[in-house]
Amino acid sequence: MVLNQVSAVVDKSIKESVRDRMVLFWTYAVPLFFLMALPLLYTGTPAEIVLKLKGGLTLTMVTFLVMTAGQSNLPGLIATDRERGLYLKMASMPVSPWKEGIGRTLAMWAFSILGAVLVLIAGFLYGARFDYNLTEALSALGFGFLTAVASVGVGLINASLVKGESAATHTGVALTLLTYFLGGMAIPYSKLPAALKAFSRLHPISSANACMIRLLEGEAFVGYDPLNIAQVASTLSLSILLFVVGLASYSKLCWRRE
Amino acid sequence: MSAIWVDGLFKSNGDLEVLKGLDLEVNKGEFYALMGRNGSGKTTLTSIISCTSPPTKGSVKVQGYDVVGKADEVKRLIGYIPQENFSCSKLTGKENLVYFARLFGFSKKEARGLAAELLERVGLARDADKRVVMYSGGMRKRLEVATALLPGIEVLLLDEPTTGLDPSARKGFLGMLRNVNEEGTTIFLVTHIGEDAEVASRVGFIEEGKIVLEDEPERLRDGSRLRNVIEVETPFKGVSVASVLRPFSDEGRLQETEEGYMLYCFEPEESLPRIVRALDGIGCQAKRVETRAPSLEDVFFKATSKPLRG
Repeated sequence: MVLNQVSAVVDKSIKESVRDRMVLFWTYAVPLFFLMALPLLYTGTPAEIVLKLKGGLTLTMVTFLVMTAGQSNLPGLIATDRERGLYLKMASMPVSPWKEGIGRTLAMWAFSILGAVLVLIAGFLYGARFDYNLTEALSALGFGFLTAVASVGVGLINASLVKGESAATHTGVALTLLTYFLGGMAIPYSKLPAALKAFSRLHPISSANACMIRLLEGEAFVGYDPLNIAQVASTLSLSILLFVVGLASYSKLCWRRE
Repeated sequence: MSAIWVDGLFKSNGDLEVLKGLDLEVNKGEFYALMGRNGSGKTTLTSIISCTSPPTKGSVKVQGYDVVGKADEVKRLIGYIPQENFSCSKLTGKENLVYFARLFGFSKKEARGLAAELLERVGLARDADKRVVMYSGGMRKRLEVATALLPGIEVLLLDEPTTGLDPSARKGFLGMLRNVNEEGTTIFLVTHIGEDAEVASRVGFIEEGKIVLEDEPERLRDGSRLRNVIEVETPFKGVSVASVLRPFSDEGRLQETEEGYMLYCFEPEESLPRIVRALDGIGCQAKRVETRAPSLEDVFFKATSKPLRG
C-alpha cells in the first residue's frame, strides 16, 4: 500500500514533468545552452585548462539543473495541484501527506538524474575532462545527491509558502539565480566579496557544488578547499535540515483546506 | 444503519457560524440531494462529511464510523468529488484512474484493470487514452466520478458537480449518476440547481446552516401547494410593476428574475388575462406571460422566501 501510493505519485509527477514543454525547456535546455555558450568566453586560456574549466562548468550546470528542478519545477507542479483542488480530493482519501511528499521528491530526483546524465554527456562531448579516482567519483556523487536533497527542501518550503503556479515557479527561478550568482558558481570564489564568500561556504547547494568540483577537478578550480570537516558537516546537516523542514511544512500547509 | 448520519452539527469559520445545529440522515442506497443557496453551508457540510474539515461541535458518521475518530475508515468508504476539477490534465483518462486507484492502495496491475472497467462504466472507454486537457467539461466530470467508484467506496459525495456543464452534458451526467445509484452506491449531491435535484429520491433544503425541509421531490411539490408558476417578461422592472403583480401570487410571493417576475398561482387561466390587463394599466406591456409546472427551485423559494440562484 505504501509503495503503491509513493510509486503512483512518482509515476504521475514524472509524466507531468516530461509532458510540459516549458518545464523541459527551463530545466534541461537552459543549462545545456549555458554549457555550450559560456566556454566561448575562455579565449586565450591554455587548452588543457579550458578542458578542466569545461569540466567544472559541466558540474555547475548539473547543479543548476538540479536547483531548477527542485526549487522551481516542484513548487510549480504542487501549486498547480493546489489550485485545481487535487489536495482537497486527496485529503478525502486514505493518503498520507508525507508519503505523497516523498513520492513527489523521488520523482523530482529521478527527473533531475535524467537531466544530469544529459548534461554530463553533453559536457563530455564538448570536451570536459575530470581528474578522479573511484572514491572521489563516489564522493562527488554523494555531494551531487546533497544538492538534490537541499533543492527539493527549498522547493517544498517554497510550495508551502507561495500559492499560485506562476508565483511559486518564479520564486524558485529567483532563488536558483540568486544561489548561482551569489554562491560562487557563476563568479569565481576569489572575486567574491567577503560576505558572499561566507554565503558561498554556508549555502549547502553552492558548498556541495564546490565539493564536487574540488573532488573531480582540484582545489585550483574552486578557489578554496571546501572539503574540511566543518564545511562538509554543515553542508550535510543543512541539506538534511532543509529537506526535513520542507517535507514537514509541505505536509502541514499544502494539505490544509483553503 | 444510515449511510450518513449528522447530529447537532455546528461549524464556525472565525466569527461566522456556518452550520447551526444541523441534523441529517441519509439512508443506505439513497440518492439524496441537498439544495441551498450560495453560502448556506452546503459545501461546509460536505467538507466535514468528507473528512477534509473538522466540525466545531456535533457528530457526523458515515456507515457508522465517526468522521473525526475513525477518519481512516471513513476515507475508505467515501468518494468525494469537490467543485474544482481535480483530475490531472496532462495525464490521459486511463492514467488518471490508475493514479487514483493506486493512491487508494490498489497494485499497478489491479489499478489498470479497474481503470478500464470504470472508464467503460462512465462511458469514456473510447477516450481512455486521450489526455484530459482534450476532454469536455462533461467528460472530465464523468472521469472524476469514476475516481469515486473504486471497489470499497459506498458513499459518493458530490459538491455542485454540474456547475459549468451545458444542458446536454448535465442531462447525461445526471443520468449516469442515477445508474450509479441504481447499482447500489449511496449518493449525496449538493447543488444550487433545482434540475439536478429532480433525479434524487429525497431532497433537503438547507438555509442558514440548517435543513429547513426535506422529502421526496413529488411530496415536496405537493406539500408546497404550488400548482402553477407564471413567468412574466416585462420591458422594465420596479416597485410599481411588483406591486401590480404581487396580489396575483399565492401569499403575495413574487420572485424577480432576469427577464421580469415569477409568481405562483392556483388558477392561471383566470389570472393570466387579468395580469396582462393590470400591467397594461400602468403602461407596462408584458412581452411574454407563460405558465409552467412548479420546479424544486420554486418549492425552495416558497419554503425559504429566497431564490435559490441569484
